[in-house]
Amino acid sequence: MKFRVILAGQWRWSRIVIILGTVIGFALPILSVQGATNDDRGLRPIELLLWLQGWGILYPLLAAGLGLLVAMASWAPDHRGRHVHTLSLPIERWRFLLYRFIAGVTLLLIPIAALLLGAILASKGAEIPPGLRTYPISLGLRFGLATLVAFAVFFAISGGTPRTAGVILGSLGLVIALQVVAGAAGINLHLFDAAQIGLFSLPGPLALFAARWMLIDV
Amino acid sequence: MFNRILLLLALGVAPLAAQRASSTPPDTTISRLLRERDSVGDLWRRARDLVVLQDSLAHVASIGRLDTVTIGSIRIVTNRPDLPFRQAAEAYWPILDSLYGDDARQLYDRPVPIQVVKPPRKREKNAPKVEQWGQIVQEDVSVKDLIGMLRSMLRVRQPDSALRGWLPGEIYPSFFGDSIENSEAYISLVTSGYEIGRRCFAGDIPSCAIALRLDDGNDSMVAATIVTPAERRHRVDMMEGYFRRNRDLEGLAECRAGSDVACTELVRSVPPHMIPHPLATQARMLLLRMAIKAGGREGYHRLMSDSTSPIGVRLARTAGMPLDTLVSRWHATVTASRPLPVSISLEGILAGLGWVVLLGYFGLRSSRWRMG
Repeated sequence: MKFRVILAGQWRWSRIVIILGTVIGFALPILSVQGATNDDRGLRPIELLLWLQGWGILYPLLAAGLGLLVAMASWAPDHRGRHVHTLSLPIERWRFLLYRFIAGVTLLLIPIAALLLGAILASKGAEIPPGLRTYPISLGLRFGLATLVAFAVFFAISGGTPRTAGVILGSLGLVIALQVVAGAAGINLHLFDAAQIGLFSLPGPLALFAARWMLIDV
Repeated sequence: MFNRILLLLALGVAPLAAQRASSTPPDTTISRLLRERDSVGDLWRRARDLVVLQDSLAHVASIGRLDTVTIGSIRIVTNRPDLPFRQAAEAYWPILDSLYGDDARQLYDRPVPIQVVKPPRKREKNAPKVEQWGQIVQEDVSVKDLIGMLRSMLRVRQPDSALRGWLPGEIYPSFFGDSIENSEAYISLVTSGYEIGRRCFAGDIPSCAIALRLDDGNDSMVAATIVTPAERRHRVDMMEGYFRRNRDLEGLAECRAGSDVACTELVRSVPPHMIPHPLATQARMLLLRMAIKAGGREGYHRLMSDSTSPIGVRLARTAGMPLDTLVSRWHATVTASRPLPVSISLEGILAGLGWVVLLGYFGLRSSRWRMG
């Protein structure tokens, strides 16, 4: 009962984002292969791959955008009301946050499912040249996980205190300052490279975003 | 210093001049003056040479000490031997040697001058400008960058025009690793826009030989790479301007009207170099490297020493095996080099779920919620 109330509230705050994300997620795979794979008028295989590579940039952007906006929508009313209402509710704080987190994940499953459906339909309708294959399930799965990771990141950041945000930003600033000082002193220090590898390579949190987002590939 | 040298020369030459003068019979004033002019001119040339030598010695002194790093046949002349030149040469020499074989010995006579300079931020403000005598690198250069530099600077004898017509550019060792470049050959084969490429991918080895343009000297084989009527029509459409300039208007009209015979004749009339290769450079480079390596240490030399035979014959001789066998091996290598698919791995799934749970936990543990 309590979860349904929280879910209903979450839907009210983020329905526009969810609906828009659902429409875009469903349309993206279908639009990407529209007219590109027709045997007579379509693109040659290498051109097709380059074409889809261009469309592939939109998937991680959509995933990150959905995660950010839904996480912000989860916390916006509390930030406006200074958490007075939520702190006065007869529910443990951690349980309330857990319900809120799960509600956000539940709502995000709608655009994820829409993209998966769109990818499957696009794969069924496309005439694939020999040697190339379609990856609708993989694309949908990657999109789903990337969206949830983005939501979790921004949920954690939005739920933090200004001090937490300060610590995070201060750490980032420290890394930048160290890199600048090391560069001026001629010391061979590549903190950004190390951070990039740590974040964007498995098992880093952003590894899902750094992969190739292709509906059709070799 | 210069004046002392000049004086010593003058003192050395003067007795000789006097001796020569005393051994000749008495002559006129003009002859004597002419001889003195010649001796002064000779003196002047010697002094000039000495000045040039002195200047070059002074210049060498400003370069500083130079050392040579030698690994195999790679010789690097540098002013900073303490930098990782040895590591770079040790990493690159086996790659060079495996491709060029005995021909790599030519590199020994062509040392590579590499001049190390300080990065701009470390240079003194009013430091004198240093004249360039070698390839400039900064002192914080990495081993990987040095290997890249050696790759661009070290070349054995250049391919002949026939070989360059088949594979443009130079023959160089694999830089990114065989797996990456083999994957590129796979993609080239899979994404070939030609039916002959698709047949090759499906396993038809004679089609591979045609797709790779391993012709037996017959230019019509180039036209044989375009095997379907649709492809011939497409090629004619793409080259309409060429046929119009050559006044093949009748054939052009017939081809457009649907006559495949006319299209075929038009395609056959096109010079071979104007018809694109069905497969990209990477695929042909892979075949070439396979042929050289199969031929052992003399492979590269055999390839370079025959510039008249058709490419297929040259590659077969280089590899020391029949052409069909070489192409079959190439096909097996390419089809086994499919790049990693874009499907998400189990590791990726678990990592993603793990981060969702972990970050969600951090969100629940927010200190905003812990009061008192």
